[in-house]
Amino acid sequence: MHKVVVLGARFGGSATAYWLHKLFPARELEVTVVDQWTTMTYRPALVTAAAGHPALADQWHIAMKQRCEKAGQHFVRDTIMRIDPHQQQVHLASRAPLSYDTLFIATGTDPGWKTIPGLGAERGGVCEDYLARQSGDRLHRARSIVLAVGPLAQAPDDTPRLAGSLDAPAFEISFLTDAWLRQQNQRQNVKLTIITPASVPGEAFGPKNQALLARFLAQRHIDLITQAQYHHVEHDAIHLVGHLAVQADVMIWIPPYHGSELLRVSQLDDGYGWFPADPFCVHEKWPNIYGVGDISRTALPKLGHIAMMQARTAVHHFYALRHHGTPKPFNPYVLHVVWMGRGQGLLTLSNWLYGKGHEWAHPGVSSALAKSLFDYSYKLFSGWMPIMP
Amino acid sequence: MRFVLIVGLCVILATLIAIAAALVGTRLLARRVEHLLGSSPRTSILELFYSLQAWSWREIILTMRRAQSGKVAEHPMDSFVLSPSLLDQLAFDPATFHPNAHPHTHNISLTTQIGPRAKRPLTLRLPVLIAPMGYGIGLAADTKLALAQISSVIGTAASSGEGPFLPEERAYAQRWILQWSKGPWNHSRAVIKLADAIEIHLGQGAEAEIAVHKTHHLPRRLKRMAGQHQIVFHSGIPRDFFRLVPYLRRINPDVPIGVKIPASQHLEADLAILTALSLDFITIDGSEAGSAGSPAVISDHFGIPTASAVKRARDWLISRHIEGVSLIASGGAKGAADIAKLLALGADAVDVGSAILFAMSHGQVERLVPTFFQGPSALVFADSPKHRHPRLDIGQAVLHGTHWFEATAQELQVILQALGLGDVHNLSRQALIARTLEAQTLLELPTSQHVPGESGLSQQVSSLATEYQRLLTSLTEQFALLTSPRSVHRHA
Ligand SMILES: Cc1cc2nc3c(=O)[nH]c(=O)nc-3n(C[C@H](O)[C@H](O)[C@H](O)COP(=O)(O)OP(=O)(O)OC[C@H]3O[C@@H](n4cnc5c(N)ncnc54)[C@H](O)[C@@H]3O)c2cc1C
Repeated sequence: MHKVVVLGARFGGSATAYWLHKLFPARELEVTVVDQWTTMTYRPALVTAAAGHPALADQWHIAMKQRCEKAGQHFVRDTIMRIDPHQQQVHLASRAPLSYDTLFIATGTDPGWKTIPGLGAERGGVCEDYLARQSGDRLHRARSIVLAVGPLAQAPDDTPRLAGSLDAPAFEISFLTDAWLRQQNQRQNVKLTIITPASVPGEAFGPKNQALLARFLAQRHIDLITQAQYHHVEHDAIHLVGHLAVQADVMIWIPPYHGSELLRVSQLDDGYGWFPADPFCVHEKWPNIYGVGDISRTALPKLGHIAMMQARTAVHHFYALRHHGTPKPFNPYVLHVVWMGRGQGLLTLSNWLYGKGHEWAHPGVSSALAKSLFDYSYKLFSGWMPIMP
Repeated sequence: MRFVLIVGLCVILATLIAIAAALVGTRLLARRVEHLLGSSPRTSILELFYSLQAWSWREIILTMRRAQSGKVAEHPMDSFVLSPSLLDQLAFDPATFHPNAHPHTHNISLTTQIGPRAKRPLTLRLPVLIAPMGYGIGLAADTKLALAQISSVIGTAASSGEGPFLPEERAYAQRWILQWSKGPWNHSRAVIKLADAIEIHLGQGAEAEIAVHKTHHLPRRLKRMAGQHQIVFHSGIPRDFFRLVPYLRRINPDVPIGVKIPASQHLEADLAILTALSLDFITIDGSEAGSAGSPAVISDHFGIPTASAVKRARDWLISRHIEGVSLIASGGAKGAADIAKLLALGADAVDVGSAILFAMSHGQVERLVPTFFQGPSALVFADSPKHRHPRLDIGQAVLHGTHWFEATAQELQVILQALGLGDVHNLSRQALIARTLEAQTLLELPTSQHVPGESGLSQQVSSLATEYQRLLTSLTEQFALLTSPRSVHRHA
């Protein structure tokens, strides 16, 4: 049997495992999924936990091991140390190496906590369950809350260009916190600020969405500092280049994204920590290695929806290779809903970032409903939904 | 109406009868008690009164345990401590004119480095570490994960303890200490490479350096990991110990490497051997240190108190002009006051074990007590899947554990403020006052000479004891000097 190993079991890895199960007959492949966690933390829900509801952080775990094993795949819980593309092996921390014929890498980007002096996970975050829970708890005692978006360390000649790691969660947390504070009649006592290295809010979405976001931020008295360059961080302040210090009782970071250490130590990166993928998500040098999701230099912006689409592209390409079909290249578009609080959402459907100029923005209750529907069905079907992007 | 009257009369009658019965009953009881007090206590319940004068509940329970199992009796959590503990015999000297109390608490620095000579020292936001407690042999997996999460949101480090490697723990902990144990796991190059610091476990306060066999209360996952192997932690110093430090350094060259030892009376001789290995830190586990279950004859009857071990270790390092070796105090620290006292005595950081476990189980114990008759340890300790009890709520445990750490950090800052210090590194013995003669003698605290109400005779006795202690220390040092270099060379 052809041995397939999938590294990572969140949006990218899980969707890859789904398509491998869906497209291939069971006898054709032996699939092994590897992750350090047996459950997936569903990140889009973490913003609600960070916005003052810490208990929600523990309600969005999805049993990925169970999901994969139910489909006849193997699941290995271990830390991935290194990939050896010559020997076609994945080295693990506490087990013998895993051999593969085809490898899918979906291990995401590492948070760059150490790339800004004084920054660390203890300053506050949202990207993992424990960070979101902690931020949600700390918020209850805060008078000034800062949502900080770290920079995205792309390779210099990569296109399209984005300045921030991921700004959408910062807007979501600020809107949700604003609504939550208003509900308690506390809004006037708390200052909310967003800091981003981007020049506009929603830099990946397009001008219509950007204008809407700017308007909503102003309406809700949420301060926005754009084009920020971070100098250093202290426990109660973020210092920007140009001597501006922003005070914060609580800061919540979407950390800098600076690629993957796993790719670096395996010498599989583009020199900047990212997976050098062709339009079919195949490694530029190793044809039997695919890169999917946040780890890929072509996954822009770093969204779960993009990771799912890349998984589809990659597995369909792999299928076409083995069954003499014609694969379709990755054709990206951004589909996202920003939680706005008060039962509202801002739905974005756009390929503006890739120079194609289509952009649709829809604020309202129906957008929030669409997001809830997606979230709950993702949870219900453990990521393997009847209709996959 | 007549019916109500009859019922009323019945109630009054019943009440009167009850009062009369109670009076008679009380008199009978009083007579019985009086008789009991006057009778021979040899076979009556009064015997307990005499037993409890000599026996503590601890010893009675251990005796019953021995009688029931026929095996070495063990107990979990803290070891036996003479009351008041040595740490409780210390107080702080408040700042008045010189120095002045520090104006604020928020800018008082608690940041600490372990192993400053290492290429990548372990930087902690406060000088408090989560004590090593292993998965399966001590703690449940959920407890380990909660501890790792706490360590990251607080900015301190989590430790593997002697248990097997848990990928999720490593993933959650931003700073992760690998405890290199004498057990059957965690010796692979990969696991060694993953560590942000490595602590070689030679022994601990509650177990000295005896061999430990783990057969009971093992969770399913640990059994799977151990496979056919018996889980044995070997006794004594490993044969290749002197080659171990360079070996670990070759695999993971940048991180601090240290050793954990039980605090012994010949501590200085141990230090002479260990410092010859160019270690980055030494952890000393005092006699107060607890565990998930160690032979009571060891945990309750071996070793010297953490406070005195730290003081002696720091004195020895200073006398040898050895800098850059961090000292970690372990055992018996219950909160910020204890931590600050240990730092003042010479520790660079302090391990906390029981305290953080208690804090984590806050708000969850009530689920256990009424139905299961179990304590907080049932929530946090590993157990066989056969024993059913409610699982730890990780989210709650992390929130309460984090609150405990945040409170401890603030309390440390308050203590430093009252001492007039702006940085935890400035904490020294000058900040301490001995409340008792014992503390004054053992810890050689300068202010102790002014303890009020001391008679001339007791002062003389205490200074004699201090002199004797100094003599003993210097003799031990001389002895260590004579023996250590040769033994180091022989093994190297
Ligand atoms: C707060 C927040 C909110 C978000 N909201 C949205 C949203 O609303 N909509 C949307 O589309 N996107 C959203 N995103 C983005 C989305 O979550 C990411 O794009 C997505 O998680 C990327 O998936 P991935 O599979 O590529 O990588 P990751 O999610 O990073 O998953 C990588 C997996 O690999 C494992 N792994 C990594 N290294 C190792 C190793 N060495 N050993 C073992 N295992 C390893 C990890 O444990 C992890 O499970 C949000 C992100 C955040 C942080």
